Amino acid sequence: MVQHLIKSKFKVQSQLTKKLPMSANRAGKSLTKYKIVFLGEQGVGKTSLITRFMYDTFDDHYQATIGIDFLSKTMYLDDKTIRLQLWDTAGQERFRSLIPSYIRDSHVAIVVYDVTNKKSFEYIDKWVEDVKSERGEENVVLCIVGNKNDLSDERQVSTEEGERKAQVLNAKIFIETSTKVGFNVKNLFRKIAKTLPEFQKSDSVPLDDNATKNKPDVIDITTNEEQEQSSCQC
Amino acid sequence: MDFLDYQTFALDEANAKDYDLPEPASRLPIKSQQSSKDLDKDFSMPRLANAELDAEGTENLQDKMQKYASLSLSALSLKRLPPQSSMENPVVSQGTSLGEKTLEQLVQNGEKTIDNTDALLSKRLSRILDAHHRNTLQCDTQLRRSFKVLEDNQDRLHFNSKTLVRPDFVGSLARNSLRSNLESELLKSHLMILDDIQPIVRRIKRLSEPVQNIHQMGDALLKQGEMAHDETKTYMDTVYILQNALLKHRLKKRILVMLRDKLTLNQVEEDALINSNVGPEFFEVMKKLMRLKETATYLLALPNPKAGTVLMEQTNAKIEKANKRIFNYLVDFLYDLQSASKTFGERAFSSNDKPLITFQQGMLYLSNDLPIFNEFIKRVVKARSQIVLDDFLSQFDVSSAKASRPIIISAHDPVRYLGDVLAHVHSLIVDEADFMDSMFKFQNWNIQDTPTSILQENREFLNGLSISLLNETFGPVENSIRIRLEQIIRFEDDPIINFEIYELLALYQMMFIKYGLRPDSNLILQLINLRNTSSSKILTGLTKILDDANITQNLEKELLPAEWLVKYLAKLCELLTKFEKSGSVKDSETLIDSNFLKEALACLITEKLPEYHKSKFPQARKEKEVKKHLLLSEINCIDLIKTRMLPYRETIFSKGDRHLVYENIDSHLQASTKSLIGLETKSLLEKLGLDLYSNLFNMIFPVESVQDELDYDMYLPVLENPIMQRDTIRSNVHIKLNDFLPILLSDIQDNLLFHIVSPKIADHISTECLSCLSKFYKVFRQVLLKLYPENHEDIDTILNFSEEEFDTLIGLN
Ligand SMILES: Nc1nc2c(ncn2[C@@H]2O[C@H](COP(=O)(O)OP(=O)(O)OP(=O)(O)O)[C@@H](O)[C@H]2O)c(=O)[nH]1
Ligand SMILES: [Mg+2]
Repeated sequence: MVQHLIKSKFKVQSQLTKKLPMSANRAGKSLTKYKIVFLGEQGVGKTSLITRFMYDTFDDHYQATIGIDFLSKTMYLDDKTIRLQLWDTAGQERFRSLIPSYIRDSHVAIVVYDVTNKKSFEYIDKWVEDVKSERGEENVVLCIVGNKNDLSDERQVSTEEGERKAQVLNAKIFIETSTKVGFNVKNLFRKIAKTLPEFQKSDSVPLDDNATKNKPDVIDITTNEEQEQSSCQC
Repeated sequence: MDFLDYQTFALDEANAKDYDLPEPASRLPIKSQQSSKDLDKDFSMPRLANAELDAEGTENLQDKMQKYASLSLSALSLKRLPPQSSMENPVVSQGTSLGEKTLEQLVQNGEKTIDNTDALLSKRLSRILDAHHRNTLQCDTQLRRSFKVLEDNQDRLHFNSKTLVRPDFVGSLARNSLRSNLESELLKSHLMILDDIQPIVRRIKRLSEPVQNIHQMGDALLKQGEMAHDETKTYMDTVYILQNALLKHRLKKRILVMLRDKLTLNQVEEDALINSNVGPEFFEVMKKLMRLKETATYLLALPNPKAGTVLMEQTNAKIEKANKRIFNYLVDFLYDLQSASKTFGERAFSSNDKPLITFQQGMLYLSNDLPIFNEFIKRVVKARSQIVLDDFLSQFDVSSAKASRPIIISAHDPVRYLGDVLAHVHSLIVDEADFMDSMFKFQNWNIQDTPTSILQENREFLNGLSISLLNETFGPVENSIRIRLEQIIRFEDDPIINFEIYELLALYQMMFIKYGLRPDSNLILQLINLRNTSSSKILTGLTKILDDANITQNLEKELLPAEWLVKYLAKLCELLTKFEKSGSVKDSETLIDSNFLKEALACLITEKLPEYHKSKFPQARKEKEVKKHLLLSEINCIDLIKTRMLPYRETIFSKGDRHLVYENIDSHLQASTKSLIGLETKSLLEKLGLDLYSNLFNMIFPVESVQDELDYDMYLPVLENPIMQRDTIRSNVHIKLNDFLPILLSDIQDNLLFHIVSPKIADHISTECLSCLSKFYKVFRQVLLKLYPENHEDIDTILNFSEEEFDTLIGLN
């Protein structure tokens, strides 16, 4: 429903823009913001996921997130600007009370678990419950992400289990990632982008367009699945 | 050629035209010789090109002539004059004299002689010879050449050499026509030459006058020069001076032109400044103005600063005007952006958008005029504040059709509500920071291109512009935010919730600062204020529990800790547990410091508990039993406090001077225990009838401190006391001892230990009491045995239990 709302709002915008191209030029491009909130137990790799996506780096050293971190990524599409606002929550118990306030107005909720930690997997239900109580069933793009899939020896949660749970919880996206080796991270964000109204019109994500590569602040999420998979060492 | 008079063709007038050319002279009066007419009658000249002549193959002209002459002579049959003719000699000198003589002879004789031929011949010959004599070889060659020319041009002149030499009329006609042809040809060529010469002549004529003038002037000058020869030097000096002056003027001009180019705007630039759109062209001019200003400052440093002042004034006036234009442009830009945002939703620029770059450049230049720049900043702040405020307030609007639920819905849960408000402010801050960064961060600056003075002076200021704008934007919003938060915080009494609020505010304070708000910004200061409010409310909330509990009412007879205390401690523990988990335990500056703990615990022990006990046990001062109960209740309460605080001993109470608070509790507990032990021991001694003796003994030396048998001697003086009479002792002690000792243990159990919650303390108390009894009994008995060495048996009957038996009966081994 939220997508529908955004979509219809967007349609109105574009119609108006067509009528007034002059002022639109001087007044910049239309900007649509999408809030994405990252949830999950302590140490499952939420911050790592964002860091990999934003800066393509990884740090083995664990530093717990304090409070809620914010990062934003801007994408330019023709005459539109899309800003992804990434809200990185802290898994530590003492910050739990802050989180619902951030889920409240998020369009996308990414619930992360650690495939080498059964407990973090079991807690997904609680997070999803939080999301649903804040956003309802339909108002949110729910993603389940099983991280640290490079640690195959320590795996405690199988991919099938993850998939099943995602199905049960009615998640739109399920994916296993490894932020350490950079596996599937871009894929995750591409999948998310595809759920946004701006990208739904065409079959492919418009960001695949090579022209956007040269523009500043554009996320290159063009790497295809095969390439990423080959870089996985497990 | 001689027959043409060139003078007749000369032009009289310089302006004479072609058609003015004079008519050629009339046919030249060339008449054939009168005499020859007759002579020629029946004489034909032998053909020069005769076959006979040629056949001889003679090349010499002389020979040819000779032959020709002889031929002619033969034709005339002048055989009578062979010697004369044979005397004919080509040698000029000889020929001449001879010829003249002969001719005279011939002429003299001619008229007389009838022989015409002779006369004619001689005439001709003489002419030829004469000609020959006059021109000799030159004439010959000339003649030959003439003939050659004639021959060559035979076609053109249309003559037939044969007819030409005919002596008859036809020949004469031919010759005449040849002559006329020749003449006309000549005329033609002469005309052509004249035509060519004509313009030259004309030019010469034209120039002749000026040349004449020059000549005259030259002559005059020369004359003068000759006269003024001495003045030349002075003239030359003047020339040099003038030349120098000229050079100086040229240099001056160059300098002035350069100054003009450097120090003034040209027309195009002036026009651009006033009329062109604010854009690259305009900024070029601005740049120049900035440079002018810079130059003007240098000029001001000159001894005469007038130039600098004037230039400065002019430049400033222009800059001021230009700045107003920039200001208007910026404000328009902002307005456009805002109205577009209102109509189409939020707007954004990519960092390389041309309008954005122009906008930023405009700001850069405007930043040199602080008042007007500040005015612009004010507008920005005002506009953005309004947007932020609207957005903030919209979150409380239940009616607005938003996808996310309004914050107001969570108003029942204070922490959640505050969390929602603050989280939304958080997102407003990051949004606004994004916006400010995109519009007011001068990172794409091509610094070489901008006058250094601008950047040097304003760089720091401009670098921090986006941050300071962010802070200022939240200035006017701060009040609304504060009100929303305060509404909740003011009316929250629960210390736990207040603590949560306190923690929440602290966390958001940290996060807001992390995302750009200055620690001294109003919003942060307000958060700190609110934090202080909620922190002070934690303690007041706690004490309020005690106040509300009405501790002096509803007193139960039980010696167990009161309900209110249990409740209070439960809250306190909950708080401490939260505090422990909050992770800020290590921080010495935290809310729950030793003062807080003192307030929360020490006051409880030193004020609340005594107050409570006072009202519960009003008779305590008078009645020992009541006092004992009071102590029991006190011990139970303090022990409860202590046990509840025990889990925090290693965490909260371990840091700083907080351990003193815990130790204080313990010492209170020990003090109460001690007094209870004292009281109980006393009452037990009383029940055993030993109290009088105990008092007496202790007055001399504390029984507890007795170490060995030697110490007993200190008590020997007691004998003087009448109560030390054996009979008195018997009546005081024996029955009581025998009655009470067997039930002593159960008596303690029932009256004392039963009421103590902590078995450990109970055990401690009983042990202490009993060992006191045991010790006294032992000392008492031994001292008696010492005092009455002869009456040991009597003593044994009075204190009929041995020390060991006594110990066994009271449960001590
Ligand atoms: N092997 C492996 N380690 C990972 C991966 N992702 C994260 N980690 C490690 O896991 C630890 C925790 O990562 P974070 O991203 O800080 O976890 P978080 O979910 O943000 O934790 P909180 O902020 O406390 O909620 C770090 O030491 C990472 O190096 C992964 O894909 N593979
Ligand atoms: Mg983290």
